[in-house]
Amino acid sequence: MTASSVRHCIVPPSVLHRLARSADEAVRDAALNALALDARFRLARAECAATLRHRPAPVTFSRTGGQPQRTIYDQQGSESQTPGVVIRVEGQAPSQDEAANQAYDGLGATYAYYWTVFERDSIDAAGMPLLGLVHYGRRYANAFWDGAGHMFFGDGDGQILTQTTAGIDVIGHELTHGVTQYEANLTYSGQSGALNESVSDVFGIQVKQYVLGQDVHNSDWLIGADIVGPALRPALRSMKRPGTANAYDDQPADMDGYVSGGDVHTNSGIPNHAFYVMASALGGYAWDAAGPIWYAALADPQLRPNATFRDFARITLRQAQQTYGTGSDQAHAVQQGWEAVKISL
Amino acid sequence: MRVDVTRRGGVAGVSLHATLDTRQLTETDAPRVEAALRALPWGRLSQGSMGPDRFRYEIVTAGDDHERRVMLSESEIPEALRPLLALLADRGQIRPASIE
Ligand SMILES: [Zn+2]
Repeated sequence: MTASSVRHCIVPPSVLHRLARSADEAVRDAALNALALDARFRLARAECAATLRHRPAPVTFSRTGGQPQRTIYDQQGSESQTPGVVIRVEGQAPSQDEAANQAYDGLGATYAYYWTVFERDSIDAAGMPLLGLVHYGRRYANAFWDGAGHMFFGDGDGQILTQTTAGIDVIGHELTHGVTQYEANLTYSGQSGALNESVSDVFGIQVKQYVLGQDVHNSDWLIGADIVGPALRPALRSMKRPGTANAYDDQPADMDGYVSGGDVHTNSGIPNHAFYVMASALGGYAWDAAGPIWYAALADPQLRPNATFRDFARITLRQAQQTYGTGSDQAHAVQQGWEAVKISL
Repeated sequence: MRVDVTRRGGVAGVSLHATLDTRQLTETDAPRVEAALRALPWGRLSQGSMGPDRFRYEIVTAGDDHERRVMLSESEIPEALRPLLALLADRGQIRPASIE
């Protein structure tokens, strides 16, 4: 690859996406046009790569990217929201603290997934440093992204959850809440909230599949299998068979079971299952086509914060048709996925 | 003082519920927890906005003549209430996320 073939884009797509969500109609239209051009440019690159049988050089912006900037802190059982004692910084050898090393690796795996598959440079697509705060709280049975660059990890209560750093899919899930925040910013209630949750499961499981080299048939499509305590075994959620992951799993697998006013973690089973059906129909690795279609929909400026399942479904179909063709296997698989969960396009 | 405590949210996607009595706490904790409970913004049923997967709490106490209820995000939980939440973690019953 010669230097001249490395293209530079003046306005990064992430900035265009932000502009495309602008309230100002003129700004929005201009950004949408630029994005359409950008999408065609990316498609041309993908076609070129397919013909040449190798990957084109990444589109580079001011920061070259490709390298995470991780720091892991020990919160020492406190629920303080400010980072505690530094345990491990980027490039350092593993520490004595297993949770710290798991957090470091999980943040790295998530960064690597988003970079290699989408050339996305961290959560904000602009190289945001990733800070992992382990041993948060006492017997704290949760892990969360705070929306401001910090991922907090509880050690678990031993019943509902065990050490949360052990779940690569859960780390991918939480960091994806950050990605969603910078893209569609889906409102965290109702259908848009369930979509927000589902998108996190969809990319969380792909990060795990990516690390383990699993194709769609080798994956168990379970979320949280490595961090559930005895009360919730074997897993938190099943994308393959929503509602069957544990004794309390109340996820519906299609719209017939939609829980009106239900929790975002309940109704997320519906789009989760649509993704599973589509990815399985296509075979291979989920990030070959299924993941990119979902990602393109998430990053599509026409996906509004209050989107319904149907709004999202239509955008995934349009993205699949634009990228792969109207009659393509990919477009058919998307239709199959939404049909399986009884969402009409 | 008897209270119903429910925790919702969290990446696990289940809720946790218990009927607790401050008499189940230590002699030092009980009066502090009771004072913290009295000071809660009773009747306020909307939590401050929090990010995805954060915990939310609902506390209900049966008074002499009327029920009192309050919703809190985890960042709004006063430090003095922590022993009560520890009791919830010990004795709480897991429920599906969408069961009221
Ligand atoms: Zn979540």
